[in-house]
Amino acid sequence: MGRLKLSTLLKRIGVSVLNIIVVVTITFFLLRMTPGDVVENMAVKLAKEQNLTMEVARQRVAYIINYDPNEPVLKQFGTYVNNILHGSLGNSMQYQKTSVLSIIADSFPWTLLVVTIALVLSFAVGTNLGALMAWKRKTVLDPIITGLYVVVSAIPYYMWPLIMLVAFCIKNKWFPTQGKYSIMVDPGFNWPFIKDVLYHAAMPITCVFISTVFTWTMNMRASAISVLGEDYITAAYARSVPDRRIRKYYLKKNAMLPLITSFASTFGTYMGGAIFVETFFKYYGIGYYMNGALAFRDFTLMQGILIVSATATIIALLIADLVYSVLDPRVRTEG
Amino acid sequence: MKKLLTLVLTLTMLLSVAIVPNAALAGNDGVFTDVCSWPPVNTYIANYYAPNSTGWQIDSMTNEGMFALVAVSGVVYPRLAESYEQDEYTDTIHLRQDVKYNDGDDFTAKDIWSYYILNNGCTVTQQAKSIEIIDDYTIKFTWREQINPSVRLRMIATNVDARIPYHIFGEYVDKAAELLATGVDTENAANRKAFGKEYTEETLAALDANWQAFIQYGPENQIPVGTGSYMVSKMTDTDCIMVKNPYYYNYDLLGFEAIHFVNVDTDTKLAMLQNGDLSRSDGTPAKDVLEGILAGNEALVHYLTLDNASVGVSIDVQDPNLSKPEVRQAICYVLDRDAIREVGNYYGFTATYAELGMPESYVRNDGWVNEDALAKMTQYETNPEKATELLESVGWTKKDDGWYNENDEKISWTTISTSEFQFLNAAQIFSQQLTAFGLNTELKVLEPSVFTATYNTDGEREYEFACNWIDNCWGVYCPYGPLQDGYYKDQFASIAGNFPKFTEGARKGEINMVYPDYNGEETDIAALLKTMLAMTDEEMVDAASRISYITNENVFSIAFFQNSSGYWLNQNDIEGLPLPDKIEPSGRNVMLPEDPEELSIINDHWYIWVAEGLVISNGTYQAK
Repeated sequence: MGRLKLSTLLKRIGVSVLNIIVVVTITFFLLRMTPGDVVENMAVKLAKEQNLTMEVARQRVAYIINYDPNEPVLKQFGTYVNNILHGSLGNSMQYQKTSVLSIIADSFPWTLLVVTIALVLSFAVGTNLGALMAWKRKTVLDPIITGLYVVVSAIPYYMWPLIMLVAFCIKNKWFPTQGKYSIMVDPGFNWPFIKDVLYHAAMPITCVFISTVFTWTMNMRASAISVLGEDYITAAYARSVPDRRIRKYYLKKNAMLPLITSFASTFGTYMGGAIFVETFFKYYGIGYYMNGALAFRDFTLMQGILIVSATATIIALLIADLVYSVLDPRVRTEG
Repeated sequence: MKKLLTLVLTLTMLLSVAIVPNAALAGNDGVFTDVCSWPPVNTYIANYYAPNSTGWQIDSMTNEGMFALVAVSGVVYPRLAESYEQDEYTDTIHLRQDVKYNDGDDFTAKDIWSYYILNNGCTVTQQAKSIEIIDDYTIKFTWREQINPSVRLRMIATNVDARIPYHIFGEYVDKAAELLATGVDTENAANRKAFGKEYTEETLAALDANWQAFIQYGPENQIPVGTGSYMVSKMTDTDCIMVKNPYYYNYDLLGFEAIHFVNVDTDTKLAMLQNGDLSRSDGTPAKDVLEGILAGNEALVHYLTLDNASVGVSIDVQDPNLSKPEVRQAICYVLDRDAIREVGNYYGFTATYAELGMPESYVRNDGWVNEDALAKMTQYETNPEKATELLESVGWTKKDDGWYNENDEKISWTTISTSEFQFLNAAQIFSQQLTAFGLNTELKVLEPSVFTATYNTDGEREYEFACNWIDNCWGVYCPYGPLQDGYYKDQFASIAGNFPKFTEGARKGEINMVYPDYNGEETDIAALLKTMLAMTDEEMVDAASRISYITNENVFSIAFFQNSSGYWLNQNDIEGLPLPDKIEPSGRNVMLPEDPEELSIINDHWYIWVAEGLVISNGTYQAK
């Protein structure tokens, strides 16, 4: 089996950390280059709501969002880096004085719940389906699934939440329209609450599932067809190994290997939140907050979420890299 | 075995999920359901003034002001105020004596006083000389200068949120009062702040800091405290249940056991509305969507209302080409504003004048412009020949590829707009119509904060026309309010319109616009506006007539249509719908009535939340 050297591991971790630093820096400066006047927009709204003069409204907004657009960008960056080194991602500009860390801590588990269940399910179903399609590619199953894939792919991924919402939540009230749990249950480690959480997560999970399952299916199919042409498969047939065993131990396991990196990458990306799914279903995960932060120009919250997303992606890829070298003895990881 | 286990587990999960009861309250008897938006509960503070406080609708049921103000009509209803007396410089308001907060504490005049002390940046505090507590149920406003009594009342009534529970926030109120006591009289009007006094920079900073500390504080149980008819019982990110305030003085009138607010976006709202999941909803969608919703649910009734604002464009009046009134007038004659209205808001009301400084309904229905002035004002109907005549009169020529100005420069203009449908659609047709006439105009659609940054620039302008709300009467103390908004140096119309200002002297920063009025007399608009508040109603009509005439004849902006809005009511949930006799004959799409009394009824039901849930609190709406 291949072994991962400590030096290689440390090197990989070092590169990952460097990537995160680059992401933080680039996003910080890019966000501040975006056009728009956050202060004026909020001041107009506040002046109308609280019957204030514009001068007073602007002052109040500047305090609320704790952001001075006239401060030099490099100074802002220095303050930001200093805060990160002290474990702070700053306060949200729109959710007055609420720390970005607390928002992420509150929302991230909900995204994790939906994404983990959805991706694990879609990966499991997709890879099995893909393997079956490759195995039975001369039957009617192949064109049927391929046809489904074409139809599903033609529908933009951001349409699925709307379709599911209307079809299953509004027209037929089989699932709730919004939220993480019902107002009628008491949050806590109790069965009614857990059930309710799963019930509310069902539609977001389904949307992510549908968006990803056929990708795994077709990728697995392609990989499996390639594996079916290998000599060891032919040898297995020649040794009268049962079909089921060939499919399970010779085909699936080998064909799945290239998809592991893809799975890790997708997992990491979704850790930034399935924005459309969470927004449509008012499912307050990281994606929902990101959407709101984008509209509001809440720089600090956007940066915080981007750091989380980038870190999650990088960590997921790192883990995939490590796992791959363990799963595939043919891969020798060297420095 | 493993497969069997997997199968059993999966089936168990699916079954248990399937038998979770739908815990929604929508459709339950005695529950009123509407839409509201509020911030995530983990960021939420139970303080109305906190940026992360309850949504508008929730607050409207939790709180009451001294008065309820129906924005579109300007009608004022007493709520916590029982009566009032006015003389030249004072307003004395007598409050109800049977009011308690939903936590059981008594409401007193001190809570009203607390608001004006803490929120000392508001208009009333800026205009008042003092606000005194006479006794537990009497509060007296003394004004620095003479202000028209009806304007004063509406100024006070506009503060629908004018009560801060002293028993919760007293610490901050006392601190603000202590700081305000250090103010000194000043002759310098520019330095006057709260109560007309001048304060040191340190005091102003301390007042701000106190305000910031106040808005971060709220009751620990996160239940907003107010005197309103309902109170928050439970809240998640997407649902809020309100129950009757047990201490409400009109408890017996309340017709609903609970109010259920749902936090959903517009698309979901419309779908829920059609599905009968909402008792009420605000807003008039596009014509085809509206008709589809009505067809999809026979219990729904839509009522059309006037909005107190118009959609139009501000014009850069200092642009070399647009500085000539003939050119601006010509643009007006080019436009088919009916066609613009049809796409901007099918149910809007096409403007007939260029712009009056206030929505046309206020002129027609409320008489804020006199007949003499109206008779002399130009009504701009579509007339391309007249437009051509005007442009040629200033030396412009039409060539094959469009119009050229007197310096033989080709005309090329830009309109900016946000993507909100009433502005975007209107701006698009506006630009197309000008281009078809040969005045090439492109449209730039901007994200809202970019739009604000663009029109608010001190630098070079990227546009000639900005599409937005104009003739905005949100301030309600008509006609001063909308005219002030239109010309005040710090508001959209004057900024986007690039109105000329005084650059030095005592009037530095004020609008510098002097034009002949309908009697031919030179009128300084800013100077006239400054004196309006003290005028009698009759004098105010004359002043408004002069400014409206100038505004219309000089075409500083162009109104396309007065906006309309509307609201939906579900007959399955509510008894007490307005104008019941009109529902079926209108096909459940009740248009704006012409009868003033009927119009008043429609207005009272509209924007229920601006009038602080009036029709629920006074028992007009009952559960079916």
